[in-house]
Amino acid sequence: MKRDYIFFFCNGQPIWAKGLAVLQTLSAWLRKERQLTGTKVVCAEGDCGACTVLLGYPSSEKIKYEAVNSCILNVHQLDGLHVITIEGLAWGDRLHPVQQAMRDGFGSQCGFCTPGIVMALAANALVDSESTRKKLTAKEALIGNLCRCTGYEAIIDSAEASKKINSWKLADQYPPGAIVKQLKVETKIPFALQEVDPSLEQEIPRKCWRPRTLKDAIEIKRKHREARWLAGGTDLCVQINKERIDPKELIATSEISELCGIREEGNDLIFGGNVSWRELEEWAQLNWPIVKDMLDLFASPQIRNRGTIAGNLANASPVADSLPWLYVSEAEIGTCDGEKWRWIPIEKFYKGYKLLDLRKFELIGAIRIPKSHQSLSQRLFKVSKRRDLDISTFTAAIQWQIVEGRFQQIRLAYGGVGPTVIRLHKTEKVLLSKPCTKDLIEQAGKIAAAEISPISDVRSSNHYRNRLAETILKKFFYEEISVLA
Amino acid sequence: MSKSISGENAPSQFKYIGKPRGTIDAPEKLKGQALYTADLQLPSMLHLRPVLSPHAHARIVSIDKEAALAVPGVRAVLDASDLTHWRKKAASRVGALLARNEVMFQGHPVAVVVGETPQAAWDGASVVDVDYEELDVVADIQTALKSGAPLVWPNGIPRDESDVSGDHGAVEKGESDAASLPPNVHSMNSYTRGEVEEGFAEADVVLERNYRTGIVHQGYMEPQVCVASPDPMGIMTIYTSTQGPRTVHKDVSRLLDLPHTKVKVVPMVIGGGFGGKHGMLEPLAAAVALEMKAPVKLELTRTEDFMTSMPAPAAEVWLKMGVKQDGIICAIQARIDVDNGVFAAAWWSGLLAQLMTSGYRTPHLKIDCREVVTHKPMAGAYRAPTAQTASFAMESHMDELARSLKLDPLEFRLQNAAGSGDLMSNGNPWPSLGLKECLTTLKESELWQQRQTNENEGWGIAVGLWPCGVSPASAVCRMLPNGNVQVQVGSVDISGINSGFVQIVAEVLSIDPSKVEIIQVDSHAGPVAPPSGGSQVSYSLAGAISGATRNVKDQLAKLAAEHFEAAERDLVFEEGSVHVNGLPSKAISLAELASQAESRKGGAGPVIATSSNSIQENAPAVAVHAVKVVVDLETGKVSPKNYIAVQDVGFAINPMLIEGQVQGGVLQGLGWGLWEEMPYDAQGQLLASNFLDYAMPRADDSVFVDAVLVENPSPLGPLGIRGVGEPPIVPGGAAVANAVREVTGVRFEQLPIRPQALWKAMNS
Repeated sequence: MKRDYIFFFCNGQPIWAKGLAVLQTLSAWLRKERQLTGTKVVCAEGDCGACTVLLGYPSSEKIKYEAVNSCILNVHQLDGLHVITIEGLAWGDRLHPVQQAMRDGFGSQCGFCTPGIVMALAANALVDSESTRKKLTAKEALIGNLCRCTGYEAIIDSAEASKKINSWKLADQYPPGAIVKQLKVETKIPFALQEVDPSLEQEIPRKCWRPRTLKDAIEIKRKHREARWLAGGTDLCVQINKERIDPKELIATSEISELCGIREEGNDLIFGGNVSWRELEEWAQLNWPIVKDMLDLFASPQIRNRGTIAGNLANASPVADSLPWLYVSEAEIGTCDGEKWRWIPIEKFYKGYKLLDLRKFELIGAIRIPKSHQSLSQRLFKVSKRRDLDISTFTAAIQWQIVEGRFQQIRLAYGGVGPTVIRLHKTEKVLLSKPCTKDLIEQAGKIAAAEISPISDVRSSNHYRNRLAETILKKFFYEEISVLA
Repeated sequence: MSKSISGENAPSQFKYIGKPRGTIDAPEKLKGQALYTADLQLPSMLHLRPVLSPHAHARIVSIDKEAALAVPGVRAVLDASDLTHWRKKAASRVGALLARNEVMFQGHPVAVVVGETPQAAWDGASVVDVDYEELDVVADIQTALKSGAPLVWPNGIPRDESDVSGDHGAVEKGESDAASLPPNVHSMNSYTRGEVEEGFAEADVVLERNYRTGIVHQGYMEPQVCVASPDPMGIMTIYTSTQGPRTVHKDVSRLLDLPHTKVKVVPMVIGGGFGGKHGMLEPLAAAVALEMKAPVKLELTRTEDFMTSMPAPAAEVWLKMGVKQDGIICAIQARIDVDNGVFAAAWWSGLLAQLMTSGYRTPHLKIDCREVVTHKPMAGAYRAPTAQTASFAMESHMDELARSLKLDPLEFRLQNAAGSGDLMSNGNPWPSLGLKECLTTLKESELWQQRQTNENEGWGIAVGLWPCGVSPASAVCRMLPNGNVQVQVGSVDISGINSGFVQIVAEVLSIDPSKVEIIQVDSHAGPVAPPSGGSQVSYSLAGAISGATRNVKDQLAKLAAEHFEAAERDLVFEEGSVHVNGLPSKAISLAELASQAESRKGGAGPVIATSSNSIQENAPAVAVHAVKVVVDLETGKVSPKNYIAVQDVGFAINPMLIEGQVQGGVLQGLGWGLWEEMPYDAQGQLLASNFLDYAMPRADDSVFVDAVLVENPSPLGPLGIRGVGEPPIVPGGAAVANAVREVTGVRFEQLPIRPQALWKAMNS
């Protein structure tokens, strides 16, 4: 049995939506169908945050809200969730503390980025002592938002000032009990859509599924070969908005239970493909703090809240922030065709530029990392024009263990230096078991520069990247090794 | 810091003026209720999607519309020949509605698809099949000026009355007689004083360098958008995100041959402009609305906006200066080439020349300017247009000269700084100029005196000048029977200006600011006002507003005097009421007075007044900035750590709002210095057209600014105010370059200073 409508709450109101409307982006739906025009669209690709809304995920009797970009989210992805827009943040005449502080502190000039900024800061304000995630500084919380007028100073000051303003609890404004209950009742069975789009010349129906098991998902894929997988949507929706790709059939993976969660299995850690960077961050906070620090360099809070491990792996950008870390952690990619799982070392999984060892009816299901890596030191370097939410020109992950002044273990992976991320096996060999001295690092730097073959593009010249390959090792030595000595 | 005020009241007596106060539109903006142009949904409105040229220069062989017309929901596909109301030649960006026969820049609109939904228009636009024959491309200044270079306009550069630079203050137009111009140059200018060769002969140190700044986008958050709606009364109503509704009105009327009275431009809340929104899409939208006889919305995507709008021009400056051992400047010579992009509808180089070479006194001067055309989008204005380049070149030079002479860079500037009455490079005397005051303020400030540096850190300073515009203006003030004061203006609020006006009106009438309404009237009916460009609106308009309000106050005083049978001089205005001195309990409200005036027959009639004013002279503004940077020697990354921004604001109507302008301007200036540039390749192809590749500063790049407002009153401006919006963006790039020089020894001759470029320079 299938359900042909999706159900969610918007600013506390129950919404039943069906038909082609659920295939729009959330920002378009809010602005057109609900006249909630406070949500702004500026870049339509998740770079500016003007479209930020709060997305509430029910968990037991509570709802956990996170900031997301509504321009790269499909409406059907709201199934079973609660979305709060800028219009739903104030409670009647009462402004939210962030709004109050920004009014008093001139945090809004032209006002176009303002709704997104307010929502990003409001999401961060929800982090309290009970949360598993860390409260971000205002600067960190705003990494995914662009503002051209204020220079951010008045906004950052307002965020500080808002902490001192007493406020109501969001749970009082939107009591979760009733919302969660109705969400559960209405979304008991999986959703599937099939409808002819009158705007298409041929009478092909558009289709969308939200399967809940791997078996169902693969079965659909076998019948509908053209169907595209949709995980968090932070990549596919950008392609839809910008490159005007038009997948007529979508299989959303986010409800596939086998792909969810992080668990231990023997000597390994298994991260489900659906795990978002936010989930990983929360887990790492307790279990692998170095990874948590590294995740601070990933994208923006809004993207981290939606983007998934599997999505990032499937995108396969050679400058993807996550990949060098997975290379040095000797991750294996678990792919599944509904029955069998294959575990492929990541170095073998990427065969060339955006070329994956993924068979026709397989889905990226999980990654597996030996637990032993958790005890090693690790560092991610990212070189870009700006620090945050920027395409890297160069990334490097280094994982090491020093025993009695020698590299007991050392792994290096560089991104942005070729069609795929690469492990620097030759350079590692030079370093392994040797005493870590400045001379050794310089020697290794030369090997590293020779081991890569970067290209020149608009972001950087190959010469610069070659030299970065060397200097990053020096930086590593000064900042991580020589301090110890 | 000097603090004095020209005006009728001493500052201590002000209740509202001079005090920090939040903006009047903040609550609705913060609640998502402010209505921007893209939020408008008119009944039966159609949606437009432009088809932009992928080539910088090509002949249009054919446009096949068939596939697009077959898309369900597509109502029309229009090319230039279909716009029957547009018969004028294309001589400016705003006048280039659609390409005729040839595309002249990448992003040149070729056709427009009209859809019943945005989606239909999109789908249609993606299948319009344009066949191009590519032609020679002239993509940059160097190529354009090379002998034997292909001509951008083989049949002569088209010209009309368009002047995009005119909205931004005192622009100097050069010689544009085609016969006397070199190829691909649309205008030349030169300025001479004394004999530079004599000056150089006297000099102990002579320094020559070539500076360059690239194309920088205004980066307004709200992409360009407008709605054009032909109303049943035959008036073309245009709802648009614009800084210059009257400019747009004129352009639409002129380009589409519509009588002036048949156009109405309604300025909407504007999501950032920074000089980039003085009219661009409106004539095209209006032309299509006329063909379709229906309202249309034209809203650009971010990438389209990068490709087809009007960013700040690239410029090249050769600068030579001679200085004596004692630090006295004896000659300045310069050649300035500005890349105007494809059209000859702006005059930037004269302005650049004035701003670059007028800040320091010199007996000998020679400057030659050329406005170059290339196959790129027409260059426009970005907040203090050309001043960033002017400051970068001159202030880098000053820094280097101070080093060669072993002089303190601040003292060296102070020694040569121009003051009121000193000659600018065009030979006119400076109006009241606070350069020395600002330099002295920085010098004496604790922030500067107690500055510190750690390893790999260094300070740089730079001066930024901006002339600030002035235009004749008028305003209307009414006292309403509900107790509100309504002020009607023809200007657009882009930086909290209306909130400043509220403070002035509240002050004059002794009324609570919440009772003051500022109405932005459309261009058809509204009072005359300057466009919101050139930092001129408050300076030009505040006098008219306070004049009209004072007139209303006089009328109310007459009515109250009659009511109380008392002398006007004995009346006290307080909290929206009037009473006779000593008898506050017998007060009558202004609402009551207005109500009686509107209802009583045979009386004085409704309380309303207009006022006009036209200030003789502009009041230039000065910004002196000091920045401390830290340089990562391994990667070449430069991070600003501390920032001091000294600015002559004349008088601060609302210090909080001005500080907001300063903070925002500073980060934009750092954008010029460290991150932002729109790179084009030799084929005129834009290589960065989204927010990932076009690196605007993010929160984490921001720096806290110590803003020091110098109140050096303008002699003629209301309350002594000066323009404040543009100056803060000016000196940042130069200050950063000087700080980088201090840390690394590398003198950058072009901006931005990206990690790769600095790293390369440090390692060569």
